[in-house]
Amino acid sequence: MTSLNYEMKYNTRPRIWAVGGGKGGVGKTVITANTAISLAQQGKLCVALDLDLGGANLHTILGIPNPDRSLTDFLSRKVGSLAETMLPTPYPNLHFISGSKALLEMANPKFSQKEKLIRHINSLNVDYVLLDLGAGSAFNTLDFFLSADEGILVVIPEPTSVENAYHFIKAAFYRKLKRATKKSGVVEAIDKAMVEKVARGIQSPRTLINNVLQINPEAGRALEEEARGFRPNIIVNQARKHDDNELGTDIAQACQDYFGIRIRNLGHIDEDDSLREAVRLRRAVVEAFPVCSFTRAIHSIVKNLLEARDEQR
Amino acid sequence: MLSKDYKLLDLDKDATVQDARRAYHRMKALYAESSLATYNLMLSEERAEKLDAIERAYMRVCMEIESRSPTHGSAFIPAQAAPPDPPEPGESIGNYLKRCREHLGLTIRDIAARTKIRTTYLEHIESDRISDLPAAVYLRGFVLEFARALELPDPEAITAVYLKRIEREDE
Repeated sequence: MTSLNYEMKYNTRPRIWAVGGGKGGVGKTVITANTAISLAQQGKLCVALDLDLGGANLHTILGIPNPDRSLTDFLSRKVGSLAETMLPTPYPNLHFISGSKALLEMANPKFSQKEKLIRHINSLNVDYVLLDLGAGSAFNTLDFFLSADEGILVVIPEPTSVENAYHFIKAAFYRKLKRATKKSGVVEAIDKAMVEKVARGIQSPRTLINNVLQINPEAGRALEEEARGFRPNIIVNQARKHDDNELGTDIAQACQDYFGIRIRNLGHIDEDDSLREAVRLRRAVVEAFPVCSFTRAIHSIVKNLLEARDEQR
Repeated sequence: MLSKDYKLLDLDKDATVQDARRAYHRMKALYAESSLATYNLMLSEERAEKLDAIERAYMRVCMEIESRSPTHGSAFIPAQAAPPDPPEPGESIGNYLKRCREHLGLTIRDIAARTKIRTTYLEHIESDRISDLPAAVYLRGFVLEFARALELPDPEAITAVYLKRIEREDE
């Protein structure tokens, strides 16, 4: 048992950063783990939570080969609170909640379970909770992404990854709008806008909002408000060429031009051999190689995210 | 209409010629056929329309900036823009080339497109990374093309100085 009571001690809830982004294998888990360690190194009390149910491996990156407690214990009510599933990690200030051994049906938790989980995440007595989301843009993934203070998308400079990122942004945006209203006519208008499956020919959110404003001005204004609050972040991982460095800016610009959605570019991470070396040593990169380019990029991303918060105030 | 042009190029109202040029090149690259960020966002007709809109917007914005501040000269002819400051004593040629490039609002990508020299080489040249530079016989041509692309007054002289310094540091 953790010696501290990690629940409901702080008056303020933790800040939640969720890392997702369509395609698998783009580095979400490695980025989540190292971002959490970077924050922890700065003295922030952190929890890294593995929500990649069914494909969890955050525990390995954090150096905990066989977690003896996991999210399953909470979802199956073996324990009463999420805090009881927290495990210490080799890194000071950083705890971890495993998603491994999650029962298959848990990979798709029901709405009430999901709401309960989000409630418990918010009541953890820490400064930051990092969510490692699975690949894809299923509703559950989107909901965790949207419940976070900062949603972070990871893309790599490959057409498939970029395509998935656009799909994810669009799906998250419409999901957010849809959750904001139950008004008749409005829901149908959003559904209609969502039907377009391919990235091209997307009905721009601005057009959608204008349509809704005509159907129902009150709902339209509510959607405008929701749209303003939607500002996902983007990280370009595995950058190899000079051009890759500008992919984040380019995607942000295209999203602004085409969807009217503002994206914050957090920066790029160059491909770095230190990653492979760190995995071999079973240590996290930011701890094992404090001056490599990957570590520098992670620290800079954390700095950008912390500054993003100040700029919102 | 004009404010729409500024918006299309993502420019502030008080943008300079350099800002406009930089924005123009950035948008052209973003909406080029080969752009990773937009290749699956639009059909080819849409893309053609967008590129056309960028050209028109850039033209109008440049005209507006010229009328606003005639001393800036035309954005279309780099030679008429205010020349960058000459190299300072002790300043490396690599740094000078970088300064001139930025003065014109051009990216490494732009220079690479004009000169057909790989961006990594251009970066090495700018940052004087001697160990990463190609052999002098190639380097000469690269620096020369780089200086020409920037429309510097005396590309030959700049190249000669660059090679001489590299030679000295190599010993």
